[in-house]
Amino acid sequence: MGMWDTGVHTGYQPVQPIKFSHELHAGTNQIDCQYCHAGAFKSKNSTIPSLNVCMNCHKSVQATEKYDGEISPEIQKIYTALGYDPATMTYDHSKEKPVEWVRVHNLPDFAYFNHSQHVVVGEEAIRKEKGLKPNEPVCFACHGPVDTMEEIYQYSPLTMKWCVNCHKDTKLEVKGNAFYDKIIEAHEKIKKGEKITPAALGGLECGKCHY
Amino acid sequence: MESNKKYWKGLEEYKNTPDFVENNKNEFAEPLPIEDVLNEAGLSTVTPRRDFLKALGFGLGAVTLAACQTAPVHKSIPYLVKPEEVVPGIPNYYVSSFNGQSVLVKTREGRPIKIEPNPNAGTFNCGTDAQAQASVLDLYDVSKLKAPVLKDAESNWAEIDKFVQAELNKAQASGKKIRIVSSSVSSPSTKAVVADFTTAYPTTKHVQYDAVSYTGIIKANENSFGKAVIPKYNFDKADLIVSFGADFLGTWISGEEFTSQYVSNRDHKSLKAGKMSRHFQFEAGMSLTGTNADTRVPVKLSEEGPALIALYNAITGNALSGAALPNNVTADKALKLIAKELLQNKGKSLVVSGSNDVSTQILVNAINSAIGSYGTTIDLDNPCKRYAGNDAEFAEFINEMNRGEVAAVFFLDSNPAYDVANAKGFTDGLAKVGLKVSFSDRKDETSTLCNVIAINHNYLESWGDANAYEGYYSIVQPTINPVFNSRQAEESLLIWSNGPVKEYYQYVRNNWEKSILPALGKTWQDVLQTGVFASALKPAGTYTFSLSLAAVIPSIVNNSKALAKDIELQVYESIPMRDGKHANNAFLQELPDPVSKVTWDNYIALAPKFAKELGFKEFDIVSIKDDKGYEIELPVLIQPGQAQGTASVALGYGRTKVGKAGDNVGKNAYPFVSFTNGTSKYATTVKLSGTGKTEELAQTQTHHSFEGRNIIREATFTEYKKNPAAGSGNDHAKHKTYDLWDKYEKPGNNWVMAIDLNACTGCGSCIVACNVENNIPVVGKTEVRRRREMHWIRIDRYYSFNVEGEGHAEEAHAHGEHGNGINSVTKEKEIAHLDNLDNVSVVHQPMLCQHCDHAPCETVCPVLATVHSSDGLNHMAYNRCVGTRYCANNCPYKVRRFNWFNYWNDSRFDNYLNNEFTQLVLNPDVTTRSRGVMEKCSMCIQRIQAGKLQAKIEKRPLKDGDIKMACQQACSANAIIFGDGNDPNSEVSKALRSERIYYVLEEINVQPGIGYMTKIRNTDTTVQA
Repeated sequence: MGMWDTGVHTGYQPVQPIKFSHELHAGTNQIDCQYCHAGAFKSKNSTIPSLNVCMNCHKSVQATEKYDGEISPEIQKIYTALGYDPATMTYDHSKEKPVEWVRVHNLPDFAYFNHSQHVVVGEEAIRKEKGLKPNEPVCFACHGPVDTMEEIYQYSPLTMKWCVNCHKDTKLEVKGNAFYDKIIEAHEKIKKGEKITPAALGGLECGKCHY
Repeated sequence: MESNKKYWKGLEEYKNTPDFVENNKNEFAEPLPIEDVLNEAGLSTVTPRRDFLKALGFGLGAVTLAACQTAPVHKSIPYLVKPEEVVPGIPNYYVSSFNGQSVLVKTREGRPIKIEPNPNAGTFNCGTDAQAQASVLDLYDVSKLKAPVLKDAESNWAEIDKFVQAELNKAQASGKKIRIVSSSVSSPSTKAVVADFTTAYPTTKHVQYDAVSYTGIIKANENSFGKAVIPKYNFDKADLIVSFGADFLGTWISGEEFTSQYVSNRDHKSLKAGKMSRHFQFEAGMSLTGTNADTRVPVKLSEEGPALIALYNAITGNALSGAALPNNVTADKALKLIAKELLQNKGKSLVVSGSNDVSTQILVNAINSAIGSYGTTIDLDNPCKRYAGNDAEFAEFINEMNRGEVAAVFFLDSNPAYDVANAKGFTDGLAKVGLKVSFSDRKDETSTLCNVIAINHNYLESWGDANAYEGYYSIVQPTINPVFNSRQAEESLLIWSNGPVKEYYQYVRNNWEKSILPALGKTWQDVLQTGVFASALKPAGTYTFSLSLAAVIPSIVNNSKALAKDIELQVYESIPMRDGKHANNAFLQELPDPVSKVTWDNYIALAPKFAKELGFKEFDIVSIKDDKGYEIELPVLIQPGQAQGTASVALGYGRTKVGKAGDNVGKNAYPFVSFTNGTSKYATTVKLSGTGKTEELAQTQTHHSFEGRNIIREATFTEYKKNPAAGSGNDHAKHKTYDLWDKYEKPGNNWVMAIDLNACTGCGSCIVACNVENNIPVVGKTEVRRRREMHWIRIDRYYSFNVEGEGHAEEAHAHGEHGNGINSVTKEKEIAHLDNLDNVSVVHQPMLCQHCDHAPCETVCPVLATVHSSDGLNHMAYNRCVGTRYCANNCPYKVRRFNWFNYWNDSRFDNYLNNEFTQLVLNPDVTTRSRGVMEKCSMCIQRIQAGKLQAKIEKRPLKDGDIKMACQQACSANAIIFGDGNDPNSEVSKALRSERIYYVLEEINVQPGIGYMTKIRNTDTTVQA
């Protein structure tokens, strides 16, 4: 262990208050990532789903078959948090208690990261660069094979070097996005035929992520 | 470090025990002698440097070891049930109103964090003032009460309602009077609530008063034209503006709106069209408006009346007595010339007066009638409804209380124990009232005297509406759930009057759907979307003044004589603090006064010559005593341009019960206000005496002259018309320049800015907007004295003096060193020797990081923490900065700011941010900077990045105007133009092609990214002394 690895938490896999299995949901059941992490496509935050999203399914899916007819204790935790009584199917808002998930991916406050920039604008480029299969969501590029993770863990180092390398190597897919037309036009005058990466468009400049 | 360990952190850390948090907060395990160094001992403190280094060494080791192992556990707590419209990370905007002006409230995850102008605001299609910008901080004020108070003890609403209703029934049975005392209410729904309350309790009367009153104008218009209103002033239609003590660009009636009107005849677009209005200002104290005037003539307060009579005589050819200005030749001469110009500009001129005296305002009406202002520059048919206070009614209310006729009183948005002159009469009377209810949100000067404090919502938690102008309605809608156990005042009144609708939201909606919406053909949903509805303006009628001035003139003359007896004191609203209602707002306390640049204090402003005569130096504490016996001690500020024989003191300071930021800041000047002839007067006579004490005011600018260097370039309008490049330095052939550095390529965007010095009035709302947007810390009075304020944008104010017999300052500036031998640029050391500092010219220059292409800061940074970007910005990476401060030393513009402390987490800076509640105001897209790092204007890079991303997601090119800077948005004068310099058609590119453009310190070839446009003055050279 050297100083290089100080603060690098690859593999961080904290115990979560609810034993939520990404393997089951994203793998076996093939639920799309953005069904739960809807923010990733609009916002800088991917957002942890609020429990009303869980309830869309778990109002009826209770896994009783695995627990001798009882409701799964993990699903019961959702009900408890919401003050929901599955017998009467009513909510008691006075018993609400938010779930305190342990955050797995901790980027420092001084680094700005925006999910939508990567999963919407950069989707195609990232897919190509990381060689993702068509059926794999773009999220896997950084979050790894989430569909095989029983418990979620940090797949990538989330170091600045890791960010920068990708920004240096990835060829931007600028066709069809009118935003780049003006930028590229100016750019190509200087760099004829060179690969256009985020770095070439100034993506490595400090202020692009640190403000 | 690959690791499969599920826990590698100590248990105490996982649980976040207080011990751990406390220990971890301190970087050093042992206390360091910082306190000693900071305190009086200074650097001669007993702890030797070696100990310091030892502690530092230990601290560093400990931190390094700790860092290998641990990182704090972060919790993520999502919504249980997420509101549909909230996406964490994406702001939502809601329309609301602040003081009658329609605004947009930006919220993040349900927290209001920024106020922005509403682009659909019609009449108020201008920026926002400093108060509006700072108002988000009031919401998160820890000095507010968390629950209602009954008889000095925390209570609940059920008990309060029981008590108040019982008392009201008693009052009703006794037949005694009930009074609702408020500052001006324009809200139709609040008025309806008061009317309902009055129906339930018929002895109720609504008494409106304003701490700074406009009763004089209202009464004068009632007298002259039978319309008891404040008219709508159209400064945009005035080619010639003459103001007598009215600070119409700052505090007078509707400063932001007037600024935008005024500037529309003076900014770069107007100049291009060959048009510029002319503005004369006659005033005693140096106001913001005075600093912008083309010609400013200092007159004593006692001379304002005679000056108006003289102007009236000169215009109409009458010979009314009392027009003599024996001691002010300049004013006398100026008035005769102005009269001529006014007659030449009939229907295109406007004369305004800041006086609250009815007689004076009647005379002003007569003058405006004679020059044909009614129906053009003054509109009496679409009047302003923001102020409706009646000083006489309030005075009578105090009498009623003292006579024991009042059984119950309610204070809504008013604090008379602090802001009325007759505070003693008020408090004595209040003691005789049975039920005293304050709707204040805190234990303030008045509410502590009340038996019930029914804490009201902040406006950001409220439903409501406003009616700023006849036919102009705007909505107030809540942007956050009430934080504390407060209840909206109107709702309380509805409950106590037991009306059929008790929920105020429903009440407002019913009221709109019944009385306002049908006429406009709109629905409630439309209101919530657009926020504002205005019916078409009624045609403005022409009114002719036809009454006799026989009764008016003697009153003016007598007032003038009474004032001339002694030193004349003017009390006025200052731009940052206004009437003092927001005195606990640290952003406003630290906003420098636009003229004196003083923060965190009021002071007594004296002219240099007059102060010398009295034997006072700057910062001497003097005692100010009026003939009623009220006495305060304040430090002296030497104010060039202040009329001789007068002194000015700002209102709004000296609050004693407002909260931890505002308590005991400055002294209260309201007791100097007097009540005569039915209105409050803001001028009186005082005696000044030395106390032998001194106190340094916390000024953000202490050097007042630009020393003739060409950082300020000006020209007169006459010169401009001959040559648009006059004074800018652009009419000379450029030297060939050589460069040590390579040129930076900017293949994409090139973010640049243009600042129009002729538009900027210097008001400072950009400063507060920047503070809020960029999480800029407030440092407090002591640190400002050490020149450690953190503002990323400042407004430099420079004086220059027109020395008699040496020609005109403006011309000399215009020519600079290549001048024609006349050079009246005043050097700093000369100011002290000048005898006559009355004819002062002022320039305001917004100064922020210039984002130089060849930035001197970049070359000296040893760690590359500040570097250049390919889109024209100078980046600052806080996490890279090690705090050498070389960059700040090497910056020719002095715009870099160093964090000497963790201002947001240090008990010594208990101004505002030092608690979790107030920290909710922070903009989550901007890092809070830590102690030891440098910061500066980032050109709102978070806004640039967000704007670019939005365009990328929508797959469209970035449009000019997509991205707006926080300072630019707040500016009513549109003095700041931002955009892409690589786009030849962008607003900023067009502006930068102007002949007036110059770059500050161009000659050192740092190639700044911000161009300034020359200051143009439309001086009447014949009027200058």
